[in-house]
Amino acid sequence: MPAPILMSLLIVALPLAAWTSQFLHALFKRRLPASADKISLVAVGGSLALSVWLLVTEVLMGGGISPAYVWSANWFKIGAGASAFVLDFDVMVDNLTVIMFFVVTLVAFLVHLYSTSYMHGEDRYPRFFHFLSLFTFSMLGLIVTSNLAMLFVFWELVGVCSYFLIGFFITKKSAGDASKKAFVTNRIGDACFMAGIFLVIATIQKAWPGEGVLSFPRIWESIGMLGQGQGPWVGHETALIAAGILIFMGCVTKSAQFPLHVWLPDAMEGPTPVSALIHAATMVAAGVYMIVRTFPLLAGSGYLGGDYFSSPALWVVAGIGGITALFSGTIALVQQDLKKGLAYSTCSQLGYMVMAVGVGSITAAMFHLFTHAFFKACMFLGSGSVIHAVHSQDMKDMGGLRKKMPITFATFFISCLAIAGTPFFSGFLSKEAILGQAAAFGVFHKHPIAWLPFALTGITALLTSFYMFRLLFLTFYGPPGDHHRHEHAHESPKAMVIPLVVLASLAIISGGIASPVAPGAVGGHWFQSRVNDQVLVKDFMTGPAGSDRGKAIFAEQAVHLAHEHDVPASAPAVVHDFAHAHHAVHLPVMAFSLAVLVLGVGAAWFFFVKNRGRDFVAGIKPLAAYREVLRRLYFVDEAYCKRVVPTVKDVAIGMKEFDKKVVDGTVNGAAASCRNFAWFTGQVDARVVDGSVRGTGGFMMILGDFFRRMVSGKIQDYVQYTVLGLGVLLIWVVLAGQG
Amino acid sequence: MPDVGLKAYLMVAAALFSLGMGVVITRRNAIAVLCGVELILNGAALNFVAFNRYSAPAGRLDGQIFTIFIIILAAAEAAIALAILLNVFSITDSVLIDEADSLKE
Repeated sequence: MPAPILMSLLIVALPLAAWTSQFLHALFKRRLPASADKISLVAVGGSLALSVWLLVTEVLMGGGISPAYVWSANWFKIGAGASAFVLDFDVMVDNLTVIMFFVVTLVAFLVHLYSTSYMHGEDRYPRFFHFLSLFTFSMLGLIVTSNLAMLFVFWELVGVCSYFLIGFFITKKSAGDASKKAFVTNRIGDACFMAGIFLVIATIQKAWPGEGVLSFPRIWESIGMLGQGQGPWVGHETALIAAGILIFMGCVTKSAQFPLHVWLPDAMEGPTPVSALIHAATMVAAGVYMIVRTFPLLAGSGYLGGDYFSSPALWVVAGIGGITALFSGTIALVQQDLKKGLAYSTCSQLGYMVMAVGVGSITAAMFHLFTHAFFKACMFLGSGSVIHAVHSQDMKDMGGLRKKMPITFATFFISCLAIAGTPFFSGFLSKEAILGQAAAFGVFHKHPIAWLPFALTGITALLTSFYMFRLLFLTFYGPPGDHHRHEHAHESPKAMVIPLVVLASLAIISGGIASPVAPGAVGGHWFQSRVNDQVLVKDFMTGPAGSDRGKAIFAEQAVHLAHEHDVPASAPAVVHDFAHAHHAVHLPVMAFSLAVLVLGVGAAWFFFVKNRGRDFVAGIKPLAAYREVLRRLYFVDEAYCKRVVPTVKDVAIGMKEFDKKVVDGTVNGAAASCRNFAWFTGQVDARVVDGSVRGTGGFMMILGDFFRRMVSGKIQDYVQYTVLGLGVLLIWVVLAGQG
Repeated sequence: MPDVGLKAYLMVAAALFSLGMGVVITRRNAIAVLCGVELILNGAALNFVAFNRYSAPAGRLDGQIFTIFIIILAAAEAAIALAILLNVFSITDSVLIDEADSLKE
């Protein structure tokens, strides 16, 4: 086993060890250890140290992992011989894994640290860390595994941890409802995800029996072969499209995409550190990570018609992502609850990432995931710090906290600048990567519909800078909303401030890894070349999949964003075309994003600082009506409650009736007929069998009686019988003699 | 003396037998029953003698010898039967044969 594999497994195992030790303590001592926080903190700290070490030695200094380290152990086998279904415990460590390790362990560690202070004095304090450790383990497991089935296992584990933690305040009804909502909503996506996995198994297993068909490299290989008109997917193109869309449905619920985003804002009922870790930085991003890993499945059908437009799965991805970005962005405009505003912003940013995958740029998606994890976690922890100070989530209770909480304010401000896309902050580069990709997509395909992704994300970019600064201004600027709360507000303790500072620094510098001037960025973006080192992309560009049609789809992966001249002359024409399109939109997009930044921040400043308290919208009827629509969340939740939930309930009641009448009826009927038959056989037994036995006995009694009476003991009777017998004998002899 | 033929003998023997049997079956007194038995035996003996006279080859006396045996046996039987009867009488105080029914037990 190579050392990086061993180290990765150790990274995953440490939080599990923390969880297990706490669990055993609870099992034998009937309560969790009081030092659960320290155990978890040390374990996650260990994971963080190892992740950093891996990142530095393998990726930053070692020039990237290529090829990926892979290791697998047999998990189970169904059937025997060549046609058996094999499921392995596959582990793969490539650049993407290491980068994700770093993001997850860092945010997890900071959230653990933050929680020691934030959750202090809370009931069930050890339990919080208990679940947090379990979540960290599950999330790391999800990253390290490289087959769909194992990924699904960890996928469900993070889901259930999310359920536990959203409902952590078990005495609050709203928290319980929110956790149920999250859980039930996620069932939909998980069922689809599972169906997608089954489709993949069904198709690949038939062609390649007896192998671990669910591992990512095998799946990528199968799609790569499709590009050459070979492999298991030939003749099953519809199944491929369906599998791609079904698997993406898993992402739709996990990453809170429209129309199944409804659980994420409600999930804010959970403790704020949980919102930062699970519902901003890691778990919700797992959906994006998953579609990045399974990208070939989504894009594979594009081989059929020769260009991007014939890849329906990617269209669905891009469409859903774009719609979610805009949709959630508009709702975020009117949120009065600080955390809910952030939650809708998270939805919107996840929509960005999903859309980036949909337009073919997994690099941009991963890059934004990477930077977003830091600044969004920072904002959530910052909002936690504010909530800790004013004991309210409602922004009307806040305002004017700038002086009271300088560090929280500064870090929140930096994060807002980052998410709004200010130059020299991480979000600028990652957002520009996505916007640029979307614009290049429009230029490249020269079709009005192809401009839709850019249009959606462009408007969203404007909204983002506006609503983020609205949150910032409402919270930290202006007059205090509540003087009593304002007077008691104070800066949070060190354990809460340190994570904020670390995350804010990363919100500035984390973009650097993809900067054109970053060290090691020889001939292009460092980050991009690292992510492109993934087996999947390499296979597509250089492996057997390297057909022209395949390259048309993955052209983005082959070019370096800002360096058209880096494209080798030998590359196919489509690659050059795409690189050219990218180069053409590069500067306009940058100008555009700067313009929307200034516009958004300026508008926010105008409405919420300069003219604070004035309601401009109320005077304009259509706008006021639209605001009402936004406040009611586009009626989505209401529609679910009014239409879907009763329907589901009706179906459930119908099912219950069906169960009661038909299924139970069948069972009861069978039981009744069994009983009747038993009664019948009982009767037969009693009458016929017993009857014949008893009849035999009775007959014998009668016979006995008769013979007993004959045996009188009187010699003369006996003589009589003898004579009688003799007479009969005589008659018989005489008759026989005659005959 | 004219020869009456086998038939006449057989009819007399059958009459003797039937009378004896009738006595054995009907009479309650054990002594009478014994008398009946003697009649039966005599009926049988008469048959033997008659068959020997009419059916056997000349010079053979098998029937007669059988008859002598029967007479001897009848004497022995009567002796034994009377001895049994005495015992029965000592137990039941009666010579009525239908009262001695302990055989059925």
